[in-house]
Amino acid sequence: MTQTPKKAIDIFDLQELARSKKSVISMGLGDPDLDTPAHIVAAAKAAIDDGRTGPAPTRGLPELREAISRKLARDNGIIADPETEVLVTTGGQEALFLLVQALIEPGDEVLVPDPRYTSYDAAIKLAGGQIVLVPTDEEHDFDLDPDEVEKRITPKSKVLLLISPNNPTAGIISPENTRRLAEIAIKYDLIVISDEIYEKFLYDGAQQISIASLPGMRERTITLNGVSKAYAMTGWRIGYLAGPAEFIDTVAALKEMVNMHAPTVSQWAAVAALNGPQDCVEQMRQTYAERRRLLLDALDEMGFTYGTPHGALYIWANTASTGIEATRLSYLFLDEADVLIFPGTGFGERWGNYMRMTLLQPKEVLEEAIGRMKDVLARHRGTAG
Amino acid sequence: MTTSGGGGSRADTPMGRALAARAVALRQARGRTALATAGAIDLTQPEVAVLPQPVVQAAKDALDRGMTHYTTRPGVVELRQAIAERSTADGFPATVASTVVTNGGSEGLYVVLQGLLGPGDTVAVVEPVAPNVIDMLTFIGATVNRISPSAEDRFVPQPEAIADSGAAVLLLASPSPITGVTIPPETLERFVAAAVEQGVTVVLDRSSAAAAYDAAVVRFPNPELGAQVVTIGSFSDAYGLSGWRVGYFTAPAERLGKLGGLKQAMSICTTAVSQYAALAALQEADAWLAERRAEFARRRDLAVSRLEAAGLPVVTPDVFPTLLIDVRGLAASDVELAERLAADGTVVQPGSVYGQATAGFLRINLGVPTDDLEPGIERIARLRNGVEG
Repeated sequence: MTQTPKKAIDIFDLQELARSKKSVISMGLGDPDLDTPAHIVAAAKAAIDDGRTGPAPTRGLPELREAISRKLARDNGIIADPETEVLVTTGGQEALFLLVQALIEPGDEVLVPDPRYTSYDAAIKLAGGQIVLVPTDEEHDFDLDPDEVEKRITPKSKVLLLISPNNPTAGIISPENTRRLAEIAIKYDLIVISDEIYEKFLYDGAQQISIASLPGMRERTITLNGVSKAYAMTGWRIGYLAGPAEFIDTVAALKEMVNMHAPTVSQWAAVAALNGPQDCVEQMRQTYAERRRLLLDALDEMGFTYGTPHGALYIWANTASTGIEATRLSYLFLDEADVLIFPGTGFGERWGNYMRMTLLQPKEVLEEAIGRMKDVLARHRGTAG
Repeated sequence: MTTSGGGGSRADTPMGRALAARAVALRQARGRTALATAGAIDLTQPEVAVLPQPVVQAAKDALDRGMTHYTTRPGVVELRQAIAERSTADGFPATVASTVVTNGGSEGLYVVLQGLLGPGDTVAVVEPVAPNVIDMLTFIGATVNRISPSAEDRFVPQPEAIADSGAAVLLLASPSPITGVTIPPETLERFVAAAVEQGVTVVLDRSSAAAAYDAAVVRFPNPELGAQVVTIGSFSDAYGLSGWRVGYFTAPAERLGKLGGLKQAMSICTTAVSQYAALAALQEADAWLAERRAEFARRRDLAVSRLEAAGLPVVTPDVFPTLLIDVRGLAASDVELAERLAADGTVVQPGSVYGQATAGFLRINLGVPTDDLEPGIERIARLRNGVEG
C-alpha cells in the first residue's frame, strides 16, 4: 500500500510531484485548456505588425478603457467613466494585490467568504489587515448568507469581499442575497470588493447581479474583472478595476510604482476580446457546461457530494462519504493514477473533506480521469476511514 | 483653494474614508506636474523602437503555437536559461532555478524590495535613484539612507560610504540608467564585499547592462561574490521592449522561496507572448543590437561634441539612451533651467528629480525622434550663450 508522506501535503507539493511524472491529467490549476479565440490572437498580431507595441498610459490604453466602460454598462449595469473610473492591470491577480494595498491598513478587518482563493490572504496579510472568515456551506450551495456577514461586523470592519461565481466553491451569490449584502454594506459603511472574474460561466439558468449596479453602491464598490477566464486569456495578463475616481487615482499611483502599465500587445488583444463578437464566450460556456455535467454524474456514481456549482470552472467536491480524507485522496489520485486535483486545504484550513476539480480538460480526458479515479477509490474505499 | 481630484486630502466619501494613508500619500507625491507641453520638442521620451525581425516573428509564432496560457510561475524555462547564461557570463552566476521573470524590471525591483524589507528596516540607496523606487521604499515603510556620490567622481560611490549604515539592504545601479555611468568593476567589487561583510544584502539594478556601448565594462570580476548579489534586469532600454513589460531578477537560493511567492501573489506569471519576444531578443538579436549601439554612439558623439563646443560639459555615458548635461552654475537650479527650456518649447528632465547627486544636471534621452534631437541639443547649447551674452 502506498505510504502517505508524514508532513501534510499541500498544493505546491502536489504540483512538484506532478512535474516529476509523465502523462498527468491536470485538474488542478485554473487555466482554461481552450486557446484564445482566433480573432483576438489576430488583433494582437496586427498590433505587433503595426508597431503598436510601445509604452501605454499607466491607466491603460484609452481604447481599452472605453471598451471596459461599455462592457460594464452593457453586461453589468455599472456606469464607469473610462477617463477616471477604470484602471487596467497586469491580470486580475495584480488588480487584487494593488487594490488591497490601496485600502487596507494594519488592523483593518476584511470579511472574506470561506473557503477562499488564498491569494487574497497573501495580499491582506502583507498590508497588515485581519481576515475575518465568513463560512459558506454545501447545504446552501455555498451562497453567502448576509446574516453570517452581519454577525461578524465590528468597528474595525472595512471591506467585504464578494467572489461570485466563486473560486473554489463554484457557488454564486443569489440576487436576493446580493441586495441584502448591499444594504448591510451601506448600513455599516463598508467598502465592497466584487470579484466577478468568472461571471461569464453560469449554468442551468443561474443568474447573478453586479452589486455596483445597486442604488447607493457605486460609491463604495470596486468591481474586479479581466479577460483571463472569459476569453481563455490567462497568459496575456490583463485585468481591470472599476470604482470611484479617488480610488482609481490611488491605485493608479501604485500601478505606476510597481510596473508602469499593463503590456501593450495584450491590451490590444483585450480590446478585440471586449469589442468583438461574443459568441466565442457562449461556445466556451457550453463546452464547460457539458464537462460539468459529465463530472457531476461521475461524482454521483462515486458517492461524492457537492453544493450545486452554479458557475465558474470548478467543482468543489466533498469526499467524506468515501471515508478517505481529501488531502490523502488527492495524493492517491496523483501518485497512483496520475490525476492532479487540489485538496480543499489549499483554500482554507477547515476544508479537509473537500477537493477542487477543474473543468479545464477535454471531455475524453475527463472521462479517462474519471476512470482512473474510480479505480483508486475501489482500491482504497473504507481502508483509511 | 478648491480641493482637486488628484492631490487633495481624503474626500469625505465612503471610498475617501477607506483609502489607506500610505497609498493616499503616494498618490499625492505622484501628483507632480510634468513639463511636457503640446508641440514641444520632448527630449525625454524615446520613440518606439522598430523591433528586430526575429523578435517580431518569435512573438507571432508563439501566439500561433497557442502560447496564450499561464507560463510556469517563475517564467518560461528557455528564457530563464538564456538570462542565467548571460548573467553568469557577466560575473553574477545564476541558474534557471535562481531566475524569476517579471512584468518589467520595475516589478522585479518591487518584489525584491518588498520581500527583503519591512517597515522600519533601513535601506542604503545610492543616488541617483528614480522617484518610483523611492516611492516603493516609502510605501514599504523602509527608512531610506541616501548615499550621494559626487559628480566629480563620475557618480561612483566610495566603499567607505556603506560603513556603519545599519542598512539591511544596499540598493545601487550599475550601469546607472540615469547617469549612464558604470561603476568600475574593481570598485563595485570592493563595494559589494564591504556590504556582504556587514551582512547587508546587495540589490544591484543591472537593467541597463545590455545597453552598454562596450559590453566589457559591465562584467563583474568576482563570481563568488557576484553569486551573493540580487540582480534586477530588463529588456526595455536595450531591446526597445518597454511596452512588452518583461524583466527579471536573480537571487541567491535562500531568498528565492519568499521572493518567488511574492511574485506569484502579485501577478501569477509574466505575459507569455512578451516572454517569447524577450527570448528571441537574447538569442537572435545580436546583430540588431550592435546596429542599435552604433546608432546611439553616433547620437551620443554628436550631442557631446555640440554641447562641449558650447561650453557645456557632459557625463560621458557607458550605456544608451541617457545623457546627463552639466549645467551647474548657469542658473539657481536645474529646475529653473528646465522650466526656461520648456517655456522655449524644449522638454528635458532636471537631474534633481533623481536626488541631490544629480542636482545641477539636465537629463535627456538620445532615443528621441532624429528630427528632434539636433534642434533640441541646439536649444540646450544656447543656455551657455544665454549666460555669456
